[in-house]
Amino acid sequence: MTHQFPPPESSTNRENLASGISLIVLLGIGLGLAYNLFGQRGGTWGLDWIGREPTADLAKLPTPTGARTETGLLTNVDDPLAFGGGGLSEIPEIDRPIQIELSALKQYYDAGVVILVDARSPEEFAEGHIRGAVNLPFEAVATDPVRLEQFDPDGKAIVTYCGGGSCEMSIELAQLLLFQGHRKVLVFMGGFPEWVDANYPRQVGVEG
Amino acid sequence: MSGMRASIDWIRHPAILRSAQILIGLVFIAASLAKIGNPRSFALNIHHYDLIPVALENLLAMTLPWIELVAGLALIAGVRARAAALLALLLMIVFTFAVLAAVGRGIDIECGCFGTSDGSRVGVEKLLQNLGLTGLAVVAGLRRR
Repeated sequence: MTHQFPPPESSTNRENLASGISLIVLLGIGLGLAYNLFGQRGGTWGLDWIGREPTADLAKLPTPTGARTETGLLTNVDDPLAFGGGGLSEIPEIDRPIQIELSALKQYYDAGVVILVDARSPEEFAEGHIRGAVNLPFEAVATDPVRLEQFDPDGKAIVTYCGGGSCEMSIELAQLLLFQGHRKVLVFMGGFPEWVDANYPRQVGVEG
Repeated sequence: MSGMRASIDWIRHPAILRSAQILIGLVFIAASLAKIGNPRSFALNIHHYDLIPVALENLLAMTLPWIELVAGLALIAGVRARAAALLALLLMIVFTFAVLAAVGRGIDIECGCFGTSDGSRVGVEKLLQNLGLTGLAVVAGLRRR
Protein backbone atom coordinates (compact mmCIF):
# COMPACT_ATOMS: atom_id res chain seq x y z
CA MET A 1 0.00 0.00 0.00
CA THR A 2 1.48 3.29 -1.04
CA HIS A 3 0.67 6.70 0.32
CA GLN A 4 0.24 9.77 -1.73
CA PHE A 5 1.95 12.72 -0.06
CA PRO A 6 1.72 16.26 -1.22
CA PRO A 7 4.77 17.41 -3.14
CA PRO A 8 7.35 19.39 -1.14
CA GLU A 9 6.17 22.86 -0.32
CA SER A 10 6.93 25.16 -3.23
CA SER A 11 8.48 28.57 -2.70
CA THR A 12 5.36 30.27 -4.06
CA ASN A 13 3.30 28.42 -1.52
CA ARG A 14 5.59 29.64 1.25
CA GLU A 15 5.42 33.19 -0.03
CA ASN A 16 1.64 32.97 -0.01
CA LEU A 17 1.69 31.89 3.60
CA ALA A 18 4.10 34.64 4.57
CA SER A 19 2.01 37.27 2.82
CA GLY A 20 -1.13 35.85 4.41
CA ILE A 21 0.39 36.07 7.89
CA SER A 22 1.65 39.62 7.24
CA LEU A 23 -1.79 40.59 5.97
CA ILE A 24 -3.50 39.32 9.13
CA VAL A 25 -0.95 40.97 11.44
CA LEU A 26 -1.11 44.32 9.65
CA LEU A 27 -4.90 44.25 9.52
CA GLY A 28 -4.98 43.48 13.24
CA ILE A 29 -2.57 46.29 14.08
CA GLY A 30 -4.48 48.72 11.87
CA LEU A 31 -7.83 47.87 13.40
CA GLY A 32 -6.41 47.94 16.91
CA LEU A 33 -4.86 51.37 16.48
CA ALA A 34 -7.91 52.75 14.70
CA TYR A 35 -10.25 51.47 17.41
CA ASN A 36 -8.15 52.69 20.30
CA LEU A 37 -6.83 55.98 18.95
CA PHE A 38 -9.54 57.23 16.62
CA GLY A 39 -12.58 55.13 17.37
CA GLN A 40 -15.47 55.66 19.72
CA ARG A 41 -13.29 55.01 22.70
CA GLY A 42 -11.15 57.86 21.51
CA GLY A 43 -8.52 59.52 23.63
CA THR A 44 -4.83 59.00 23.49
CA TRP A 45 -4.57 56.69 26.45
CA GLY A 46 -2.27 54.33 24.61
CA LEU A 47 0.04 57.07 23.42
CA ASP A 48 0.16 58.61 26.87
CA TRP A 49 2.02 55.59 28.07
CA ILE A 50 4.24 54.91 25.11
CA GLY A 51 7.72 56.18 25.78
CA ARG A 52 6.70 57.31 29.23
CA GLU A 53 9.47 57.74 31.73
CA PRO A 54 9.26 55.21 34.55
CA THR A 55 9.54 58.10 37.02
CA ALA A 56 6.44 59.85 35.60
CA ASP A 57 4.29 58.74 38.54
CA LEU A 58 6.71 59.94 41.16
CA ALA A 59 6.19 63.12 43.12
CA LYS A 60 9.25 65.34 43.33
CA LEU A 61 10.92 66.44 46.53
CA PRO A 62 12.48 69.86 46.01
CA THR A 63 16.11 70.28 46.96
CA PRO A 64 16.61 72.50 50.03
CA THR A 65 18.23 75.29 48.01
CA GLY A 66 15.49 75.36 45.39
CA ALA A 67 12.74 75.73 47.92
CA ARG A 68 13.24 79.38 48.73
CA THR A 69 13.50 82.41 46.56
CA GLU A 70 16.23 85.00 46.98
CA THR A 71 13.98 86.95 49.33
CA GLY A 72 13.74 83.93 51.57
CA LEU A 73 10.05 83.36 50.85
CA LEU A 74 8.72 79.93 50.12
CA THR A 75 8.29 79.48 46.40
CA ASN A 76 4.92 77.78 46.67
CA VAL A 77 3.16 77.52 49.99
CA ASP A 78 0.25 75.54 48.54
CA ASP A 79 2.58 72.86 47.31
CA PRO A 80 2.48 70.00 49.83
CA LEU A 81 6.06 69.29 48.89
CA ALA A 82 7.27 72.82 49.57
CA PHE A 83 9.68 73.28 52.42
CA GLY A 84 8.34 74.68 55.65
CA GLY A 85 10.33 76.26 58.45
CA GLY A 86 14.06 75.96 58.62
CA GLY A 87 16.25 72.96 58.06
CA LEU A 88 14.89 69.79 56.54
CA SER A 89 11.36 69.77 55.26
CA GLU A 90 8.75 67.41 56.62
CA ILE A 91 8.25 64.63 54.10
CA PRO A 92 4.58 64.70 53.05
CA GLU A 93 2.34 61.73 53.76
CA ILE A 94 1.02 61.17 50.26
CA ASP A 95 -0.07 57.93 48.65
CA ARG A 96 2.50 57.89 45.88
CA PRO A 97 6.26 57.54 45.80
CA ILE A 98 8.35 60.68 46.05
CA GLN A 99 11.53 61.00 44.06
CA ILE A 100 14.54 62.19 46.03
CA GLU A 101 17.88 63.36 44.67
CA LEU A 102 21.26 62.46 46.09
CA SER A 103 21.98 65.82 47.77
CA ALA A 104 18.65 65.89 49.61
CA LEU A 105 18.91 62.20 50.46
CA LYS A 106 22.32 62.73 52.06
CA GLN A 107 20.90 65.42 54.36
CA TYR A 108 18.03 63.21 55.51
CA TYR A 109 20.45 60.30 55.83
CA ASP A 110 22.81 62.29 58.01
CA ALA A 111 19.89 63.50 60.12
CA GLY A 112 18.92 59.86 60.65
CA VAL A 113 15.29 60.41 59.75
CA VAL A 114 15.10 57.91 56.87
CA ILE A 115 15.50 54.18 56.59
CA LEU A 116 17.08 52.98 53.36
CA VAL A 117 15.69 49.90 51.66
CA ASP A 118 17.73 48.04 49.05
CA ALA A 119 15.44 46.42 46.47
CA ARG A 120 18.20 44.39 44.82
CA SER A 121 18.92 40.67 45.26
CA PRO A 122 20.58 39.41 48.46
CA GLU A 123 23.74 38.63 46.44
CA GLU A 124 24.05 42.19 45.14
CA PHE A 125 23.24 43.53 48.59
CA ALA A 126 26.03 41.43 50.12
CA GLU A 127 28.52 42.76 47.58
CA GLY A 128 27.93 46.27 48.84
CA HIS A 129 25.13 48.59 49.89
CA ILE A 130 24.44 51.94 51.50
CA ARG A 131 25.53 51.74 55.14
CA GLY A 132 22.56 51.00 57.39
CA ALA A 133 20.29 49.93 54.56
CA VAL A 134 18.04 46.90 54.91
CA ASN A 135 17.52 44.42 52.11
CA LEU A 136 14.00 43.81 50.79
CA PRO A 137 14.65 42.08 47.45
CA PHE A 138 11.81 43.09 45.14
CA GLU A 139 11.73 39.68 43.45
CA ALA A 140 11.29 38.01 46.83
CA VAL A 141 8.77 40.34 48.46
CA ALA A 142 6.62 40.46 45.31
CA THR A 143 5.91 36.74 45.76
CA ASP A 144 6.14 36.61 49.55
CA PRO A 145 4.08 39.45 51.06
CA VAL A 146 4.86 38.24 54.58
CA ARG A 147 8.39 39.64 54.28
CA LEU A 148 6.86 42.98 53.43
CA GLU A 149 4.43 42.82 56.36
CA GLN A 150 7.31 42.14 58.75
CA PHE A 151 9.15 45.24 57.63
CA ASP A 152 8.93 47.98 60.25
CA PRO A 153 10.36 51.39 59.35
CA ASP A 154 10.15 52.43 63.02
CA GLY A 155 8.39 55.69 62.21
CA LYS A 156 11.05 56.81 59.74
CA ALA A 157 10.50 57.75 56.13
CA ILE A 158 11.39 54.93 53.73
CA VAL A 159 13.80 55.44 50.84
CA THR A 160 14.00 52.63 48.28
CA TYR A 161 16.85 52.26 45.84
CA CYS A 162 18.30 49.66 43.51
CA GLY A 163 21.00 49.52 40.84
CA GLY A 164 20.41 52.94 39.30
CA GLY A 165 20.32 53.31 35.53
CA SER A 166 17.23 51.63 34.12
CA CYS A 167 16.50 49.80 37.37
CA GLU A 168 12.81 50.20 38.26
CA MET A 169 12.65 47.75 41.15
CA SER A 170 12.95 50.64 43.60
CA ILE A 171 9.77 52.22 42.17
CA GLU A 172 7.93 48.91 42.18
CA LEU A 173 8.99 48.20 45.75
CA ALA A 174 7.88 51.70 46.76
CA GLN A 175 4.46 50.99 45.22
CA LEU A 176 4.23 47.73 47.18
CA LEU A 177 5.13 49.53 50.41
CA LEU A 178 2.49 52.17 49.74
CA PHE A 179 -0.03 49.46 48.99
CA GLN A 180 0.92 47.88 52.31
CA GLY A 181 -0.17 51.11 53.98
CA HIS A 182 3.19 52.79 54.51
CA ARG A 183 3.48 56.52 53.86
CA LYS A 184 6.47 58.80 53.33
CA VAL A 185 7.87 56.40 50.78
CA LEU A 186 10.67 57.89 48.69
CA VAL A 187 12.62 56.58 45.71
CA PHE A 188 16.28 57.29 45.05
CA MET A 189 16.62 56.68 41.31
CA GLY A 190 20.39 57.19 41.24
CA GLY A 191 20.67 54.02 43.27
CA PHE A 192 23.76 52.43 44.68
CA PRO A 193 26.08 53.50 41.78
CA GLU A 194 25.38 57.21 42.37
CA TRP A 195 25.96 56.74 46.10
CA VAL A 196 29.28 55.02 45.37
CA ASP A 197 30.31 57.77 42.93
CA ALA A 198 29.78 60.33 45.68
CA ASN A 199 31.90 58.15 47.99
CA TYR A 200 29.26 58.14 50.72
CA PRO A 201 29.24 55.53 53.52
CA ARG A 202 28.64 51.97 52.44
CA GLN A 203 29.25 48.52 53.75
CA VAL A 204 29.69 44.95 52.57
CA GLY A 205 28.01 41.79 53.84
CA VAL A 206 24.55 40.65 54.73
CA GLU A 207 24.15 42.59 57.97
CA GLY A 208 21.67 45.45 57.57
CA MET B 1 8.55 4.67 8.26
CA SER B 2 5.48 4.14 6.14
CA GLY B 3 3.58 2.96 9.22
CA MET B 4 4.32 6.19 11.03
CA ARG B 5 3.41 8.19 7.99
CA ALA B 6 0.16 6.31 7.75
CA SER B 7 -0.62 7.15 11.34
CA ILE B 8 -0.32 10.88 10.76
CA ASP B 9 -1.88 10.69 7.33
CA TRP B 10 -5.45 10.41 8.62
CA ILE B 11 -5.05 13.67 10.51
CA ARG B 12 -4.62 15.49 7.21
CA HIS B 13 -8.21 14.68 6.33
CA PRO B 14 -9.86 17.92 5.17
CA ALA B 15 -12.70 17.54 7.68
CA ILE B 16 -10.28 17.20 10.58
CA LEU B 17 -8.17 20.17 9.46
CA ARG B 18 -11.30 22.27 9.04
CA SER B 19 -12.60 21.29 12.47
CA ALA B 20 -9.28 22.16 14.07
CA GLN B 21 -9.25 25.51 12.29
CA ILE B 22 -12.77 26.37 13.42
CA LEU B 23 -12.07 25.26 16.99
CA ILE B 24 -8.89 27.30 17.40
CA GLY B 25 -10.59 30.16 15.55
CA LEU B 26 -13.37 30.20 18.14
CA VAL B 27 -10.86 30.14 20.99
CA PHE B 28 -8.95 33.07 19.47
CA ILE B 29 -12.11 35.10 18.93
CA ALA B 30 -13.27 34.46 22.49
CA ALA B 31 -9.86 35.44 23.83
CA SER B 32 -9.73 38.60 21.70
CA LEU B 33 -13.23 39.82 22.55
CA ALA B 34 -12.49 39.46 26.25
CA LYS B 35 -9.48 41.77 25.88
CA ILE B 36 -10.57 44.24 23.20
CA GLY B 37 -12.98 46.01 25.53
CA ASN B 38 -10.39 46.73 28.19
CA PRO B 39 -6.90 47.42 26.84
CA ARG B 40 -5.93 49.10 30.10
CA SER B 41 -6.25 46.02 32.23
CA PHE B 42 -4.68 43.91 29.50
CA ALA B 43 -1.72 46.32 29.45
CA LEU B 44 -1.38 45.78 33.19
CA ASN B 45 -1.42 42.01 32.66
CA ILE B 46 1.35 42.38 30.09
CA HIS B 47 3.28 44.57 32.52
CA HIS B 48 3.17 41.90 35.20
CA TYR B 49 4.86 39.38 32.90
CA ASP B 50 7.79 41.80 32.86
CA LEU B 51 8.99 40.54 29.48
CA ILE B 52 8.81 43.54 27.15
CA PRO B 53 9.82 47.20 27.53
CA VAL B 54 7.24 49.37 29.29
CA ALA B 55 7.05 51.64 26.26
CA LEU B 56 5.70 48.81 24.11
CA GLU B 57 3.16 47.43 26.57
CA ASN B 58 0.28 49.69 25.58
CA LEU B 59 0.95 49.24 21.90
CA LEU B 60 0.79 45.49 22.35
CA ALA B 61 -2.33 45.75 24.52
CA MET B 62 -4.08 47.76 21.82
CA THR B 63 -3.11 45.60 18.85
CA LEU B 64 -2.63 42.01 19.99
CA PRO B 65 -6.33 41.30 20.67
CA TRP B 66 -7.18 42.59 17.21
CA ILE B 67 -4.56 40.39 15.57
CA GLU B 68 -6.12 37.47 17.43
CA LEU B 69 -9.57 38.52 16.26
CA VAL B 70 -8.57 38.80 12.58
CA ALA B 71 -6.72 35.47 12.73
CA GLY B 72 -9.73 33.84 14.43
CA LEU B 73 -12.15 35.17 11.81
CA ALA B 74 -9.88 34.03 8.98
CA LEU B 75 -9.70 30.55 10.51
CA ILE B 76 -13.46 30.24 10.84
CA ALA B 77 -14.21 31.75 7.44
CA GLY B 78 -11.59 29.56 5.78
CA VAL B 79 -10.01 32.60 4.14
CA ARG B 80 -6.22 32.38 4.22
CA ALA B 81 -6.91 29.79 6.87
CA ARG B 82 -3.51 28.09 6.72
CA ALA B 83 -1.66 31.36 7.14
CA ALA B 84 -3.96 32.21 10.04
CA ALA B 85 -3.37 28.78 11.57
CA LEU B 86 0.41 29.21 11.37
CA LEU B 87 0.09 32.68 12.92
CA ALA B 88 -2.05 31.16 15.66
CA LEU B 89 0.63 28.52 16.18
CA LEU B 90 3.30 31.20 16.42
CA LEU B 91 1.26 33.17 18.94
CA MET B 92 0.53 30.07 21.00
CA ILE B 93 4.25 29.30 21.16
CA VAL B 94 4.98 32.86 22.31
CA PHE B 95 2.15 32.74 24.90
CA THR B 96 3.35 29.38 26.18
CA PHE B 97 6.87 30.72 26.63
CA ALA B 98 5.50 33.79 28.42
CA VAL B 99 3.59 31.57 30.87
CA LEU B 100 6.63 29.32 31.20
CA ALA B 101 8.82 32.32 32.00
CA ALA B 102 6.37 33.47 34.67
CA VAL B 103 6.07 30.02 36.23
CA GLY B 104 9.84 29.54 36.04
CA ARG B 105 10.47 32.76 37.95
CA GLY B 106 7.83 31.77 40.46
CA ILE B 107 5.72 34.87 39.97
CA ASP B 108 2.03 34.45 40.61
CA ILE B 109 0.19 36.65 38.15
CA GLU B 110 -3.09 36.81 36.37
CA CYS B 111 -2.86 35.14 32.96
CA GLY B 112 -4.68 37.86 31.02
CA CYS B 113 -5.24 35.23 28.35
CA PHE B 114 -9.01 35.71 28.24
CA GLY B 115 -9.08 39.20 29.68
CA THR B 116 -9.32 39.72 33.40
CA SER B 117 -12.86 38.44 33.83
CA ASP B 118 -11.98 34.77 33.93
CA GLY B 119 -9.43 35.36 36.65
CA SER B 120 -7.22 32.45 35.57
CA ARG B 121 -3.65 32.63 36.76
CA VAL B 122 -0.46 31.35 35.26
CA GLY B 123 0.53 27.89 36.40
CA VAL B 124 0.87 24.29 35.32
CA GLU B 125 -2.82 24.09 34.39
CA LYS B 126 -2.48 27.09 32.08
CA LEU B 127 0.67 25.60 30.63
CA LEU B 128 -1.11 22.35 29.75
CA GLN B 129 -4.05 24.30 28.30
CA ASN B 130 -1.62 26.23 26.12
CA LEU B 131 0.17 23.09 24.98
CA GLY B 132 -3.18 21.58 23.98
CA LEU B 133 -4.07 24.67 21.98
CA THR B 134 -0.60 24.66 20.41
CA GLY B 135 -1.19 21.07 19.27
CA LEU B 136 -4.55 22.10 17.85
CA ALA B 137 -2.88 24.95 15.96
CA VAL B 138 -0.32 22.51 14.53
CA VAL B 139 -3.13 20.35 13.16
CA ALA B 140 -4.98 23.39 11.82
CA GLY B 141 -1.82 24.46 9.99
CA LEU B 142 -1.17 21.12 8.24
CA ARG B 143 -1.50 20.86 4.51
CA ARG B 144 -4.46 18.90 3.26
CA ARG B 145 -3.58 15.50 1.95
